[in-house]
Amino acid sequence: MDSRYFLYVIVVSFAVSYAIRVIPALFISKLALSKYWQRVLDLVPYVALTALVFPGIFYCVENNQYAGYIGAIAAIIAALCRLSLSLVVLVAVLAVYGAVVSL
Amino acid sequence: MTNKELFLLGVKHSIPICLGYLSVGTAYAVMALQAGYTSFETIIMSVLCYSGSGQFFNVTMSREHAGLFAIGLGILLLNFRYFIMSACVFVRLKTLSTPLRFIFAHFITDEPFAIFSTARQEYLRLSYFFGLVIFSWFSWIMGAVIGVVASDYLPDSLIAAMNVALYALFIAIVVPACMKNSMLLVIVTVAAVLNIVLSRFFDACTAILISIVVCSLIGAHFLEGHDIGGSKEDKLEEEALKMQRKHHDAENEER
Repeated sequence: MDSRYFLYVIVVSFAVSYAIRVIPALFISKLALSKYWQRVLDLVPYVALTALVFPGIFYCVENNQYAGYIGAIAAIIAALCRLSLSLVVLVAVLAVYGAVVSL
Repeated sequence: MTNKELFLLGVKHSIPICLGYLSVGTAYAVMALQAGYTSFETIIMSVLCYSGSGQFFNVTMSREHAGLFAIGLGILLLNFRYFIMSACVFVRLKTLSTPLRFIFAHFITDEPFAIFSTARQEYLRLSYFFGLVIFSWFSWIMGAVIGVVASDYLPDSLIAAMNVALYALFIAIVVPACMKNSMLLVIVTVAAVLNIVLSRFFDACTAILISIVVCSLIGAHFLEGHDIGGSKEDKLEEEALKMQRKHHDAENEER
């Protein structure tokens, strides 16, 4: 693997993210999206976050899938209880920590 | 209000954002280091990309040595919301010069957008926006620095456990939205199952990209006719209004 691969990743994602932010800042008046595309854009973040989590979360601890399962369940239950974002994260980290130490 | 007062007010309103960014930024850094990023690369990504889900996506994808085109495309899909947010913010700063637009476009993220786009008319000046974003950005970078330093001192088992932090954050974002909208729950459940199945046949990055495109394009048809309680902007504005109210209450108490 090219040792500069990670740097290329950073440059590409910087270029894309910055372009997304700067283009409307310069040309705001020419924007018009249909309702369908508006809805697609509303959905993308939720779908993308879900796809990033599953199945990745199961393998978040190397060689210990159970810790991943426990973390996922803990986070979902905590979120269902309407805990704040940081508390959900804290509960999940502690649950996985407990699983790693005890399993 | 003078520009200085507006700036300081923006800084004050950004304190809750900063606390969140510090902790999530730390979790990101721990994960990036585990994926093989050097300390420098980990921190510089926070400086340049400045996007929680985008950086998390980068780490997930590059761990599997994904192609640069796939990463660029994924970032485009994932961060496209900034396109709309940036438009909302800069339409409120009509007199801003072009060089300043080039600079401040970089600081568009979800939370400052939510506060700024619903702020009172008299706050809608660059000095307020500057106060709102500058320490948010610094805390995101400081989070990465803390993560890099702390990963040398924290026990391995805790570091391993911290890998779950960003996943948990995303669950915490998606679940409450699903509780309000059952169609969204169906769509993200399909996305999760589809992605679990696809990742048995493809590498993780291809699977994620297919899942995002397929579920968003098809899901948007089913959302049609369903009252999902407003678009994402409405929800953001709702939340921002709540935050604003809190700020106003706090201000009134001070008086």
